[in-house]
Amino acid sequence: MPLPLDALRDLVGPEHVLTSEHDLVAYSTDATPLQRARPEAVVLAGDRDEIAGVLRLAEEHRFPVTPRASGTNLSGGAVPLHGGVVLSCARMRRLIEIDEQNLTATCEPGLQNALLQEAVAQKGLFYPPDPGSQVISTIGGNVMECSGGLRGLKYGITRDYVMGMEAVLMGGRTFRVGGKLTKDVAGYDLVRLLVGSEGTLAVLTEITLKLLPAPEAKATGAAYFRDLEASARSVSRIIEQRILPATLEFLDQATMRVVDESAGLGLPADAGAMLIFGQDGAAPVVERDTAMMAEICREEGALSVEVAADEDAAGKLLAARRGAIPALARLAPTLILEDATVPRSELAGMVREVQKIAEEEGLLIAVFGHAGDGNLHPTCCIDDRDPDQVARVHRAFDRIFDAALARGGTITGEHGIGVTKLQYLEKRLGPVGIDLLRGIKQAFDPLGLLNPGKAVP
Amino acid sequence: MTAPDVAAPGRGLFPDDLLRTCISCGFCLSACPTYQDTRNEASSPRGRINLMRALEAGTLVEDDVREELSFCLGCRACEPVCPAGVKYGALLEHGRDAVGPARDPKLRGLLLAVGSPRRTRLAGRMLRMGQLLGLHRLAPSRALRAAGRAAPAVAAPSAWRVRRTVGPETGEPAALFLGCIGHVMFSGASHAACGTLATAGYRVTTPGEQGCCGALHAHNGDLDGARELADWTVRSFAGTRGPVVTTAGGCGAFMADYGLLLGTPEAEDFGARVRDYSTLLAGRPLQTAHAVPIRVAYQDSCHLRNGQKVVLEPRALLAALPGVEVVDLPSAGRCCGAAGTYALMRPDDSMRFLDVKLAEIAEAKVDAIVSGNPGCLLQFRQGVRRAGLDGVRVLHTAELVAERLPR
Repeated sequence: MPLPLDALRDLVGPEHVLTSEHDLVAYSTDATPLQRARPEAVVLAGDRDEIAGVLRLAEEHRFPVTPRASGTNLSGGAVPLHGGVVLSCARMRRLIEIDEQNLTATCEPGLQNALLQEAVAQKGLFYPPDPGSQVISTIGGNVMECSGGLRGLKYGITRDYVMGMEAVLMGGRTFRVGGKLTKDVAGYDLVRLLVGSEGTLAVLTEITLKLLPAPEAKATGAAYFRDLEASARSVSRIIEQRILPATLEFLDQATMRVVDESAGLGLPADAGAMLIFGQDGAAPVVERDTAMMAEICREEGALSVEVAADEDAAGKLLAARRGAIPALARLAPTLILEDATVPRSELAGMVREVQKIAEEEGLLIAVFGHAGDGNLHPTCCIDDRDPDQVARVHRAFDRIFDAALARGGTITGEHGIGVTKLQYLEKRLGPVGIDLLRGIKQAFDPLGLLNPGKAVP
Repeated sequence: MTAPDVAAPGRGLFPDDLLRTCISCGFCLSACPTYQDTRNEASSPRGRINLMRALEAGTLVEDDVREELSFCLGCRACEPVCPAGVKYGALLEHGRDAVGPARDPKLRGLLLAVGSPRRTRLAGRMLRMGQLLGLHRLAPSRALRAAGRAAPAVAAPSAWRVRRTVGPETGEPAALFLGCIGHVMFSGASHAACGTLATAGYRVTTPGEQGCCGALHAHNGDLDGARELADWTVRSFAGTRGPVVTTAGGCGAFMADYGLLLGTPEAEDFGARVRDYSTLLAGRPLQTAHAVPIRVAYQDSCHLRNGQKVVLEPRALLAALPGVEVVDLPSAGRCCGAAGTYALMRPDDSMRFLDVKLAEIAEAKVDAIVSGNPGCLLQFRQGVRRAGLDGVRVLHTAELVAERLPR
């Protein structure tokens, strides 16, 4: 059935329905390598009613809808695998309210994470989830993917901050779940169910987030080690000392090199690994914890340890870390990136395993990630024009996922299943888990028109 | 439904390594004025690179990508925020070269006029004559009429000449690049730069037969024309020593990349010598006079900021002048919409980007707007008229420095 383009144009205005060839090419991808499919049209929705209207038409005319905002997804979630309509909420970017009594912020889904952070910071408040893509990724996308970030260990991840939302079901019915309540056990926890549902259950139109008071002080430091082992030992010791750092990030040598090239930090060239550590909170606690972490790193044989002189220097360090993925593009034209995650205590062993697999498959696999969360980002730097390399990458990741699962880990910590990890999901959830997922999908979207081909096998 | 938009081998329109550096992370979207304007992925740097890839692969044709490549300001704000180091400016030049220059008489006329020093002088004379007779009112397009009204009075041709050598004989050598139409319209800035550099102790040489740097051609889809002019420029500076000093952010950024454009060691060496005027005076003992207080807003030239990464130097230079208070407007780093020929070719879009700034300027109550690029100066002259801010002066960095030096 052809798309009801006239009805869509009537609904959102003709300038917000894109059908020209070049627009369709631009909306064929997100940030995931090798995933690409053309939609038949793109709708840039302006408000809730327009979203509801599109979903009403979709059910009536049976066309698939792929929701999206900034398209920074790393598992193919915003790629319109089955054509149809890409429904963008990038224009819906209002910050509706900052409630200083209830410590909440309410916004539209297309608001950029960094802009929300800035706005709440001006009121002395704090929204902790800070995915690497925060300068451009949106709150709607963050919620749908349950994004993590650099502060997971101490502050948790997106799901720990979503309190309520308004959303639209396929077919156009609008509903609200949750609200500004700390306690609310009325019914199944639909808020949590929708967080991380990857646009397969409903389309968000408004989100209410929990805020915290901004920490009084912050400090960030960096330690350089001869190898990853030594940095991993420091991580274990820091946790054993009952320190809960705000930041604990590790980078291997390859990642350090490109990050340095990109951000011009002047990192020591002889180091084999880097650990970024940070603390926030009351000033004396920050000072004590930072000094202790620096000391532990020294005891574990750090080549050098430095604490950033001011917030500017600290910000540069963290921004450089956030840019690690794209910075790796300096090494090779294609990056195949995963985010296997293991219990924190298994991190060192898992890193060793990844390095062994890289060596055996003859691949350059850069490793960096969130040490405090056991969340690794093994990144294969390859040339996708070489089919042999692509095949070896797939083999390597099969082995990495198996290794993570064997250690009680998971196949994705924060990037989502999307399409790229769909084939591994049953290994993680088992047949019963998969059946439950299918049942939930059926309850929300019986026709299977909302972001088909993602998240649920 | 799956369309391989990156096929090998491609059509050879783009250098392959340039096109493949982007991994589509999307970080650039936050810095892109046109994406923030439309929120359409195709109007973003990442989106446009995907269009260029499709063009290279043959899944899109020239007509499909022409409009988006034209809508791009070419401000290169995406480059400093790109962790992968994508050379977007260079990609855009190749993309526009592939679709060819717009068939617009204004553009054709301009490119022709700057094509040789002789033609530029002729155009300058015609411009001056036109201004004296008020002919700009009869110009065939609204954008031209507006630019005509806002343009400064073109000085008499005798004032376009800059003395071949000035400054102390033992001074550190520097070579001044004048530019083409920008110099004709804003010759005061060239003279101010030359004079203040000499006062600061440089021995400034200004080669006689220099012309256009080629940026206008490259940015408008004529890379061959740009290469010819670049080659001419490199040759006209042969024999000079020291930094090649520019007073135009756009020219400077383009000339700094001559190595990439021409691929010769001479071009590479020349590119490495290019410096913006504002970077040469830092730390120099400038005898400054007492002066009446002035509150100025510094507006970045995009190619100075994003291309040459010169951000702090001009601000520091201005702030060190007696009586000068520098205000940083929130949008100082964003494109004003001048964008080379953009204001001429897409006046409505251009004004939308400018209007944001005019509101900020009105609110900041500044006495002057200072910038380091003739195109931006023309745009702001037009803007202050448009916003009824007639008391606000528009000055080149060098002009304000010259004003504050003792005569």
